[in-house]
Amino acid sequence: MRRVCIAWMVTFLICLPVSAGDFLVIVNAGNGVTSLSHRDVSKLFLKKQTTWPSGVVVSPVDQVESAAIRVAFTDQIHKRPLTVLQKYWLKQAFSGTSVKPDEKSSDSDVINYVAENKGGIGYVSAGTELPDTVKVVTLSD
Amino acid sequence: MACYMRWIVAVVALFAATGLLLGKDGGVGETLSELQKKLHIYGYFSTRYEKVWDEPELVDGLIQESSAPGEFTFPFFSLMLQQQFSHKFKVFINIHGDDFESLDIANGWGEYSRNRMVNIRVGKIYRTFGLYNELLDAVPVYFGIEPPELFDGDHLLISRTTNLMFWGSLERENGTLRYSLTLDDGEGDRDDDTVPIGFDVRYTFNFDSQVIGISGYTSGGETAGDRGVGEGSPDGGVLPWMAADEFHILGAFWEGTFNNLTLQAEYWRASHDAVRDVDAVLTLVQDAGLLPSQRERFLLFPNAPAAPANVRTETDFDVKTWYIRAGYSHLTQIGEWVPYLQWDWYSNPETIKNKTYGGDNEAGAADDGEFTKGTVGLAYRPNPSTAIKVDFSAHRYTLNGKEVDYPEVRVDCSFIFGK
Repeated sequence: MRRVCIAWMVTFLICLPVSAGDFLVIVNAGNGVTSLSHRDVSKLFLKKQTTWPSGVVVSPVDQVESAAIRVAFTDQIHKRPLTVLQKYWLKQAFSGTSVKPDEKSSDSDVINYVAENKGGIGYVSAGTELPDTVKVVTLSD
Repeated sequence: MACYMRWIVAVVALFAATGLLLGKDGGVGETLSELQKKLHIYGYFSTRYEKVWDEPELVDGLIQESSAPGEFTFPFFSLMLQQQFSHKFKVFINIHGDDFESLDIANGWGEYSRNRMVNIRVGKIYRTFGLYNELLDAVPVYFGIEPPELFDGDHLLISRTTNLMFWGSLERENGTLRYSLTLDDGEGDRDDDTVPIGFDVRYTFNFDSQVIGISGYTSGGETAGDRGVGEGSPDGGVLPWMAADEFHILGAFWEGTFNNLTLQAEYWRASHDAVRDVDAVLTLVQDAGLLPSQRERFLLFPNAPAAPANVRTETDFDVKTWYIRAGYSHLTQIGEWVPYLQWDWYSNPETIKNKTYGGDNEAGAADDGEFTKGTVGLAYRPNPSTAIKVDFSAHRYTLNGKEVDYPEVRVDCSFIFGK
């Protein structure tokens, strides 16, 4: 019986969507920015703001669309479902305006990308161990 | 209308100049990583089936109906390449192919970005004009199959491309203000002192929840068409039988997304002050199979023989069109379903039916050049890259004084590739 209960709990937790506070927004350690609003982060990932205050070019990196963290990030930061964002990027690409950010399939790939790009910004699961080459920015409303 | 156009263009130009003078350079001297410089290659394949039933035609004063055989359009595709060379320079190429037999550079431009308020694009550019022009090649992206009537290839209100475009945007608290100002060579032969100018100003609320704007164009003086009579439909707004045409276009558009519902509406008016070419009109009257109402339009004395002295050369007319569209996105486990409704109205009192002679077989089939088209359709996307669309339309217009209509069905499958 206990095993059945544990199995149910594990299944429940796996199916649970990633919720607020379950991701950390990270930037390159050399970036002077320490906090950002949700709106700022959204503009950076939509490439509506393309440079940091220092003049460094912004390099956003997304997680792959199938990742639960991507759905949560899109929902909380962009405040839109993923399908709306997919159409937004298709329109940007077909009009030649821009292309969507690179996508990585794991937290470690995102960390490596941000660490290697001075203007990098990404998001990883809360609790992920971070190297000195990246840092967390605090989010405000 | 020309007076309004001058004012609007002046305001848009002032906005651009302000950005040029006051806006700070973005990312001066900043180099991009190799990853950021990578060439992006993407596009789509598409194929279509369409069939028309019981299309009315006037034969010897009587309306007869005929059904054309169903027609497959073999795969056509767009292949797009976009590369950012530095923070300030990028290029975009859009190669368009039909039936895998012919290739055409639909778009090819380079862009210099001074800052967000001032970007300069040079080459062959889709002008920013209403909701659709920049996206017209991307059929998989929008919820219907067909473009709005103002960009139907048979009866364009304006040429789709331009050669020089200044554009920029200004971020506001609740959205983005975007402008564009375009200059080009115009439609065809033009006078030395004519300067064709186009503009677009739009406000996009956050996350594209709503877009509202106006676009316009002025030929800047007299111009002629890019095609002669007998060379098919023009690539712009000047009909092939015009010796000279001065025209201005103004329109407004709106798109709103409310949860899963998307609504679109546009209204356009093109005012033409034109002079018909006598020889071209005589060719039309003799060879193009005109309706009686069209013959009356072109000749001073319709019952008299077609002769140079009988041609009515001066003409002022307005081409007008509007549409409303609605699509509802319903997400399921097996993909996205989007039922949609569209209602188009179009009026061109100058055109004729025969496409070989530069007419169009929708407005030109009607006594008065007016028709409506109601469409109901369904788009299914099993994944974001694939779209299968089916729609049914009914054209309605007046022919020989009687209301007539005919149905049409279209099926379209498209697949987006690359990234």
